[in-house]
Amino acid sequence: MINLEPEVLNQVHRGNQEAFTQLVETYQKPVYNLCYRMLGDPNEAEDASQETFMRVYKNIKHYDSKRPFSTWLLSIAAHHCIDQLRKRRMVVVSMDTTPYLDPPDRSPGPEASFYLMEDQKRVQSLLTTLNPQDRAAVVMYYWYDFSYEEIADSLSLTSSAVKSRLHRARLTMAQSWSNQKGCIFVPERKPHESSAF
Amino acid sequence: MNHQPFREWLLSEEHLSVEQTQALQDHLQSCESCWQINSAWKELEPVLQKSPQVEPSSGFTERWQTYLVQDQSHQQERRGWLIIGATTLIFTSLLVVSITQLWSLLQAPDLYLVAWLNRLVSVISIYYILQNIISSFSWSIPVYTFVGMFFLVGFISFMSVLWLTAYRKFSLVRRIV
Repeated sequence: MINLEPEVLNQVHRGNQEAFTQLVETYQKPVYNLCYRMLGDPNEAEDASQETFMRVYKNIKHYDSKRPFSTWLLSIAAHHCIDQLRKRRMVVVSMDTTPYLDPPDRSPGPEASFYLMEDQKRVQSLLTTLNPQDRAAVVMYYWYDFSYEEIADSLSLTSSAVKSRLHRARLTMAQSWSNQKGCIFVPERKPHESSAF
Repeated sequence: MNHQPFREWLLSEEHLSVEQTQALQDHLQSCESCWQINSAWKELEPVLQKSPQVEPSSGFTERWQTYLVQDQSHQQERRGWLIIGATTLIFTSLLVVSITQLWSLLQAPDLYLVAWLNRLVSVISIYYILQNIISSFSWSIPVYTFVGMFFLVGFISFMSVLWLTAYRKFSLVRRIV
């Protein structure tokens, strides 16, 4: 996770507009990614990211500089997305509107790129099977490497609640993944095969 | 079949002891459901870990600046309308009161003057009654206590207004943790 220099943060705190623009420039990608993973739609993710930065702009005086800024920022984004998801009755994810993905480290061939894209679509559809808070916990854990404590702090939960939410989310996603795979092929289990470790 | 604690172990990132690993392997040999979850999670977890971050389309910062300018002008517009509304309300109220009084004066000037004189007399008599009450209490309550009570009531009223304002202000930004 990228961190802004403390001096820039101080200037933002003092209401410097240019410093805030630099902040938006620095954090646009993590905020947008969180909103996209939460909402599943590029246009809604764009609106939610803009709204997140607006809330940060208006409430920067409430920011406690003892806390990591990224945790505070992403908690605002997550809360906004959770509110948006609660307003929705049905979640419809368009698989044709996948936004730009970071290029992988090694340039894969067209086949590898295709599988990567397919996996990403499936991951996105798996996320939509989770409830908003579980989804936020999964996104913070896997995309931002947040610890249980950081997730708890961001989502106003206890660490044990985060653990149990992550466990529940993993189970749901594994079951959905297994069902999706089952539609494509049925894995043949070899006798005495141990797949645990 | 009881799947606990095996599902906990399958999906946990904590290190398992040799006995736990053996127990899990034994369970997986006999439980098709846990075996499927295990193989699905072993496929899915690396995909999650390798998932890249998605980027917004180019020009995000410029769009944010436009959004900020629009929001600020919207706020200004709203403040302007609020001031105009309040001014109009006060002006209309004053106008209605003035017209009513003027109408009464024009309709029957003598009655109007008598009514005002009555009101003036009432105010003066209330003043004298209050003065009598206060002077009758003055032998039992020291003047400093009375003044102190007066300021105490004023202070409590002020603090109540302050509390209500603060409560309203903070309850609006409760989502910003």
